Amino acid sequence: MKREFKISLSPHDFSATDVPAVMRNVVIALAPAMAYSFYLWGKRAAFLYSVCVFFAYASEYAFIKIRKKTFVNDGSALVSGLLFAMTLPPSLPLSYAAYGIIFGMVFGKHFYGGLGQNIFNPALLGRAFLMAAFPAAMTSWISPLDALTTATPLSAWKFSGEIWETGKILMGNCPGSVGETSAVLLLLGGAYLLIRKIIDYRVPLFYLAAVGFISSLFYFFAGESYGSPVFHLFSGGLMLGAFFMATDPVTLPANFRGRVIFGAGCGFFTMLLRYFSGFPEGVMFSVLIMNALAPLLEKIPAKESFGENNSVKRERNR
Amino acid sequence: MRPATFAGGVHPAQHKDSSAFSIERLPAAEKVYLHLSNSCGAPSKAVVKKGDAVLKGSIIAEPDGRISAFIHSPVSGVVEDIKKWPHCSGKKLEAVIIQNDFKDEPAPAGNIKDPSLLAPSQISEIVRNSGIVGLGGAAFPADVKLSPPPGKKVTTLIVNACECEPFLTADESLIREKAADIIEGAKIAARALSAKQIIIGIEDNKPDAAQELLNRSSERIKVKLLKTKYPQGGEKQLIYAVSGKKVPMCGLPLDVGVAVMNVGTVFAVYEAVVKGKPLYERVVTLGAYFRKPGNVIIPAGTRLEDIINFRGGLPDNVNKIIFGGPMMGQAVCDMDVPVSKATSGILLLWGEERKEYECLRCLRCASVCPMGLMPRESFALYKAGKAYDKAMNCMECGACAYVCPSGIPLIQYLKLSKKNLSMSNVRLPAGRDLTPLSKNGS
Repeated sequence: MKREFKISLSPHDFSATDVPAVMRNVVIALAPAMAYSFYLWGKRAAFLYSVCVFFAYASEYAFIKIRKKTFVNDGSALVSGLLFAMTLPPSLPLSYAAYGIIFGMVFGKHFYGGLGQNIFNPALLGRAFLMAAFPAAMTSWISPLDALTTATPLSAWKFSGEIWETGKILMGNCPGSVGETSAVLLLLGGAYLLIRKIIDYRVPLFYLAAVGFISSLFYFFAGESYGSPVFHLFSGGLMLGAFFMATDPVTLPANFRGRVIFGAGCGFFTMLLRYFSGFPEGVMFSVLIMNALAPLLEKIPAKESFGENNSVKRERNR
Repeated sequence: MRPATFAGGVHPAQHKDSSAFSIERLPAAEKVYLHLSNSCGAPSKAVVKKGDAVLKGSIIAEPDGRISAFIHSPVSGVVEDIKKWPHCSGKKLEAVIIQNDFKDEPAPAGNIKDPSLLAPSQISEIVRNSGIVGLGGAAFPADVKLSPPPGKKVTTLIVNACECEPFLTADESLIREKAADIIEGAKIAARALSAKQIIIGIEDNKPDAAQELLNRSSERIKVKLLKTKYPQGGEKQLIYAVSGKKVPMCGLPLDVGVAVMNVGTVFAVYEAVVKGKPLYERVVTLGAYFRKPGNVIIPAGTRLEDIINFRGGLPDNVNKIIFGGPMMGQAVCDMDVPVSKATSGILLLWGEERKEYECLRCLRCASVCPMGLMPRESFALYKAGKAYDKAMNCMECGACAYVCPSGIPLIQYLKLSKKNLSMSNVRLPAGRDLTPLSKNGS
């Protein structure tokens, strides 16, 4: 009875959370906000999601074939496609959406070497490309009620000084990108990711804290026209950005202290852009700016390991 | 009060099903295979030769150097041969093979004295002569631990009853049935160390065993309930959890005035000092897919195949055999490999290949590392031909590799870093270039 047995180094047991499971959890977390976007935008949302996911997979598959590697469906293309679609104006022509996700996947991910190697969030890079290529289409918004052109809460605040009611912004029944409007449902998804320990709590915590802190300073000391902290926290793409974009581990510094600065930096740049730039919203650019800084933040010395500082003392004593 | 613990760690599925079984005894096999290198340190020197008659408990090998141990025969019989035999490390190592005559003739015991009259040095001498090594897994000679070098003082003896590895319940069942002897053994060990205090650390997933110990606790012998988390039984983690002291990097528990012994070891100390019985058998958990699982006293040197045959044979759904627990145990592929004094469990498992993905840089490895390391650095730096300078602080508990969503064998990379760091004697600055790492190395 000669039987063969497997030999491997320990450990021999593994947690069930592998890369596809991580991606699956992100999709589960996005589900409530996605469902709400179907309710708000109907077929438009469905088409945008389908086109973005299809081209995300198509460009990933094509690129992996060009590089003569084997295609592994780890779910990252699905997440990129869905997240990208959620950041688009509902009225965006489908062809533009396709250009954006192809650019994001090719330039943002595969030119760097694929999953795990990219510096910028592919979805946000694709969106930045569309902002440069089709600025008009990317900044025209429609109302969920009548599909007529209107302003988002942030652009209404920025360009005409109107402040939306907090209740409407919270629920998300307001103009905006496909999946960003419902702060409450995105928070729900974010909470799920935090409980499942899929994302690093430091990033959304310090991101939101920085936005809350800076907007409070301006609101209470510079004037109410700057918008209340509640308004800034729950409008625009902040929740989507803080829980789903900035937390992409690949584009974060692999350093806990760096991640605190990363989160706070995102908050700082978001508010800087909202207050002083020509755009009403700054989430996308702030995350991309901090993505660019991530390699630098990684150089911050890590915390000492267990008993390490004692050992230095020991060496000195001898 | 919340149970004490350490920072980091993981919660693998516990599978402590075998805790339901009380301790039973495995019959001795026809032959036993006693490896001369069965402890941490130098291999022992055989004192018997081919054809010699041996009795149960008689010495067959003596230590060769300070860090080495006596070996005793678990059966009476004849030395059949001394030759190379498969070892659980995968190599073939020198072993004494004894043909069992099934007469169970015991070797004459030495005179047993009241332990309270023994001097510390006498206790550690008995421990040495009884071949006692650490039964937690490392098999470090216990007498070395019990005789700290001059100038070092041990104030606290910590008894490790955590048994944080999934599946294993050998210590738990021993505590349930022999708590009084364990306490007695701990007192003897503390006497050898001149330690004032004894703290027994036990995870809170073994309420019955913990209660047995708590019933016997006193001012001097404290029982501390610890959070069930892997690796709670890691020496440095245990010391930190029960006393708040941090053992320095590359340091020993001695450096913070502590000695740590496994419950199995202190029980062996009790048996040696009070009953004059040397260490030639131990409780081993037979777990997972064993047809007859349990906590079984197995003579050292019993072949894996004999054990499996005694317990109903090898089931078909097994493709991996582990000596030890699933987190730190060794995979064994040869049915001729014998158990040693360090084997705390044998698991018959079905192991699936872990699929490897690209590193997501998620830092789950760093957030679970009980030593506060960045295990991913060892992998990233290896790709750049460099070693991770803090790898020496790694105890290879496997928490990082357990949790890695990309299935990266981080322990292997940490071992490679360690290997490179130990080849150069100086402590290197971070990420310094090192000798090229061979791709097929350890």
